[in-house]
Amino acid sequence: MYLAEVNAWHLVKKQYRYKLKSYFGVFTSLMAIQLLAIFFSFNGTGMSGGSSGTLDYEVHYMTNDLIQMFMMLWAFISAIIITTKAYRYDDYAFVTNRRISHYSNVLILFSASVFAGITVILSGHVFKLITYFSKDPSSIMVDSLTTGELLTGTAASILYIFLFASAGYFVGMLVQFNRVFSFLLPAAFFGTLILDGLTREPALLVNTSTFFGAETSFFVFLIKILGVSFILLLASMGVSNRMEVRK
Amino acid sequence: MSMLLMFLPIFIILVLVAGVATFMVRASRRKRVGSKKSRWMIGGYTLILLAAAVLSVSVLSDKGEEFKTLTAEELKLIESEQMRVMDAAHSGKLQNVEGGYTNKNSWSFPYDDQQLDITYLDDETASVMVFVQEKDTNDDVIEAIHYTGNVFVDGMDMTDKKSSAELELRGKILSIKAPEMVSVNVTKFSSGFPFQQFTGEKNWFFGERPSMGFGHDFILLKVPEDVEVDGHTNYVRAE
Repeated sequence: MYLAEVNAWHLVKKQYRYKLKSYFGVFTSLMAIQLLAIFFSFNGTGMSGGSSGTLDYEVHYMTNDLIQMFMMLWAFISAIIITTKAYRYDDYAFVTNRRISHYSNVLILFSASVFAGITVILSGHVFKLITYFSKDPSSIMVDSLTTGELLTGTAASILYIFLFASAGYFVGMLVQFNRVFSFLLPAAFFGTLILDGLTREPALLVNTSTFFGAETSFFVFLIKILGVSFILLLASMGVSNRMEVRK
Repeated sequence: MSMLLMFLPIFIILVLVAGVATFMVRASRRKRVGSKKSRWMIGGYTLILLAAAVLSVSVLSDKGEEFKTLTAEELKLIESEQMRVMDAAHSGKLQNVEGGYTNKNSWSFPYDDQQLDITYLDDETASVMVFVQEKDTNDDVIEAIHYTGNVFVDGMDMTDKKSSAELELRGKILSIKAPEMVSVNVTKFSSGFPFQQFTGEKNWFFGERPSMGFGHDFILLKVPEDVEVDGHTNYVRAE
């Protein structure tokens, strides 16, 4: 019997609230990176042109893709940063253990992913408006989304960001476990890119991206993302259990 | 040089990742607890984004209707319809043109001569075919219709943007001038791959952007029974 009963979920909530305030820099960096992505997006993501009989045409494609990619990258790096010692040791301001610390981190990563996913679609509007006022409005076409498409799209955007955050968390934990991984993992990634570039039929990274990107059923996509994220987060917890305790 | 170019995307990714990472690590080293100033900043940013979204939806909501957009299946049907019309026209059985072609302009010339010469005013006109049908009556009227093949760019119907051919009858000579070249410049916004992934054919990976039609132009000339047509024509046939 103890004077104060410890409830794990209560601690996770407390730590989550503390981290929301403490990790505020994550959100300021989101804003800065999103503004940078909006700026880069003005260049467009593609262009097609040609002529057919008496018609010459040029179509410039503007998408939120770059903003989405930057947010995925942001989530990946943010997750790595919160696995660093400076952040991890903050948790000991509370009664905690590694499991509780992980749970609150996952909640933080998910909240940040939700915020980032929603701001991706919102910042796309900023980018559309600026283009609308700076270009000939008569030649602008905007794809119209149904409510269902808007909801699944936003959810997919959040899920992609969360997947990258989970991957970042795993990578961060690996690097914290052994510094060798800070050389091994980038070498493996860029080695794969180079290998894919050298072979005429790139397979490794393409297969990974088609596994998620080519999925047309939202439900299956949801299962895939949550499944892979769950495995990555579980592996992160496994890795951290083998780490040294705080001295 | 080509080797360098091959690695260029990797270098760009490397620089980008390094830049973003450096910025974020530096930002994380600063005072982490959100100061009032940074909270206001994030709050203000979110408000600006929300206001922009409301404004964008109200200003740009009708911007998807400038061009009618067709699905890949609909385009395939139109292309096969255009091929059917052309095959039929070349074999002398031009009927039901409207499916894949648009009536761009029509003319009616009173004509009581027995001979008609057709000439092209410039080299470009050679791309405009002329199909002649003989009417079964002598109503002393030459009817001409300019049909243009429906053209689609990335699924968008651009047929309305095409201009019409010009026809002029002087004595026994019917002169045809090709439609003026038209330039169309479109900026197309899409919400990004997560939004297109579950919308069937617009899928990011497999969504082959719907191809365009052939865009052939032809003039259908209906002449009175006793008029003999000579010059640049593709076929002459009794109706």
